[in-house]
Amino acid sequence: MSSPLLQTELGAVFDRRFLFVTGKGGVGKSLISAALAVRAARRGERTLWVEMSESPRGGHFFPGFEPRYELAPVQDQLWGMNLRVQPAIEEYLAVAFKIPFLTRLIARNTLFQVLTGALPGLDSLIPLGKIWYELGRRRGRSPYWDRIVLDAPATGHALAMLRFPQAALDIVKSGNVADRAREIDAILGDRALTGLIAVTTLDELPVDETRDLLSHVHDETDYRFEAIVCNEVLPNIGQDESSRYRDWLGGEPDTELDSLVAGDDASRRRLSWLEDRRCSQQARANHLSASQVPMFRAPWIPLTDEAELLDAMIDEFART
Amino acid sequence: MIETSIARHRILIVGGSGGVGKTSVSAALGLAAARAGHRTLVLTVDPARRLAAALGLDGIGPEAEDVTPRLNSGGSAVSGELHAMMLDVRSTLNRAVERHAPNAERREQILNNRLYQNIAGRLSGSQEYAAMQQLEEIASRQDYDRIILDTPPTTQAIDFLTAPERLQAFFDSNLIRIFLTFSGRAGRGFFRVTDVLFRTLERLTGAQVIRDITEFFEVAESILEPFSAQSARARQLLRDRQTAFLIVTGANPHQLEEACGFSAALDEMGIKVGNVVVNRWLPPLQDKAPVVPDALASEQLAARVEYWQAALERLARVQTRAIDALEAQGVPGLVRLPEMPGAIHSLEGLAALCDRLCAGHDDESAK
Repeated sequence: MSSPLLQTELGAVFDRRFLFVTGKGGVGKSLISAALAVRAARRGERTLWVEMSESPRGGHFFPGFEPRYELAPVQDQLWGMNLRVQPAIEEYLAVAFKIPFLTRLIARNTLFQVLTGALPGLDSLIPLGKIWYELGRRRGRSPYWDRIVLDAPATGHALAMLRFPQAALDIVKSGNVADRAREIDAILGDRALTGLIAVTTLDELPVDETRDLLSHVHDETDYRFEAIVCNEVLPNIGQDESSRYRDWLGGEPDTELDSLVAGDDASRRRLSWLEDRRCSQQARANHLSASQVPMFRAPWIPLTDEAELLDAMIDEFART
Repeated sequence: MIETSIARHRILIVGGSGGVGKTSVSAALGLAAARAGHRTLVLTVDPARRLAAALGLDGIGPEAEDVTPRLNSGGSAVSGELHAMMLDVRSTLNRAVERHAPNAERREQILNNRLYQNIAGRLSGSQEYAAMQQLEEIASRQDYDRIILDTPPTTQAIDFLTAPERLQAFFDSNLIRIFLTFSGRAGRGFFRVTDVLFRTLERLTGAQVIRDITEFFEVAESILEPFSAQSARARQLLRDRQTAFLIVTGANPHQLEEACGFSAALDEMGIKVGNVVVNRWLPPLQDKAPVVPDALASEQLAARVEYWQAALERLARVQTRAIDALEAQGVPGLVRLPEMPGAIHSLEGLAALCDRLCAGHDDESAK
């Protein structure tokens, strides 16, 4: 896309020590966050990539890697984990209350699990608390991690996570939860440390959902999204010759399916279909730009294997 | 064939992972049922704005809307009827509380409890739970010949089935009785595990939250049985002979793999899968890159055209091979829906999708 709306070079926000990456399900949030993590690791930074999923994708992106709660090496300078709430609660109880003897018994009690599952905010506090802990770890005089990339949950839960510190402090002013909420607030609000990044495709629903997410976060919290990564941006084949290219493709896009898949000139019509889709994307990018958050381009890559897709995306990011 | 599924089942549940076009397929399925002469309801969750506009659902609440007049005047006449309804999670749950509460005081206590207010609509699983409950209510009223449920958007297709059961565990009455016995002061002792557990919770969350939970459980017990009974009826409905699932999936190999797993999981649970609809398939052309005329071409443009033509063709072949493999594994009623030019934003677009869904686009047209 030649549009100046979409920057092709990843900006300084992507160099923050903690990257919080969210987006609607299915837009390639995990792909983008994994590519950002590998990008950092390849520059020699000690990097942690954190998934938060019941069905983690790490094994698809990095063959041989098994995402679990325990940190594990993924490749040179890159470690990975799957941050599930339940094991995080066990760890949290052990650290916060110093009662390891009873911790397991308590945390694995079915009733306790059901209750903690229902407690509002605990599924925000616990994971963000773990991130806070990892950010604070030291190795001698330097931080243990140069970079942490969080593949955060999809927009709904991510919004709840970002609302959590304020919501918690409205209810409790002192005690364990209040302390944690203040720590997490300090991290999310520190714009030298943290970069909030939204991933979207330039399709109707994801764009609407991204706009909703940004306006909620900007209206209700002190935090700011500083980058939108637009994924699956279609190629501008015509480039400088765009209008002549379109003329040749036949002006109005052909909407009849049968003519797309059969006939003498099907290839040209398929390119016409692609060009039409690209123009819709451009229109949605315009629509999205109203949120006034810098937008970055991640190209559509016509591959289906997730490991190959990740490699190709890393190459794209490396070129910038 | 889609028509067969419509003819044989009163309830069709459309499931699949996020972003694969479930809502559009549900709407098209509804149109197909209305065309076949059925009085049809499509129950949907948060449709894309333009799809909602196409259905005449723009800005309308959780009441069923009759779309039939719009279809008939818009040149897409049907012999049956098409109604559409949006799921409202909170009001569905509130309605159940109102119906099941033994008296007005209990009802108000629950509706005003902060824990309940937090759970209703926010706890993971409540959307799925509400969808099942709404389906059960509508099915029991016999107002419609055909009901199509567009399941809530989840990352993973299987979440739709596991979410209500996880929520059900929360309402499990045994758990609540245990909680009530140890949350009362009389039931607490120094060395009891439940006591440690309770105090841990208190330290973790603050006393106010504990009071909310205790109150909620005290009042919730009174409506548990009718709640559980309704939920059991809903689960029964999934396994009924009149019900079938329609799985919608994207055409990429990992999506197809997931759909295959979903289909197997449904099978294992005794739930019938009527069709697997592969959406957004890019059919292969076996056609060379078009020649760019000299008058237009720079070398770079010609090279780009050739490059992208080849890339699209490779993608089309990978997808098609994966779909063929899925079909060979014997998934039921596989339907291929090729990529559409643009999103659906009119009744004509919906009618076109419906045609394709029913035509069951097979390999013939791709060759």
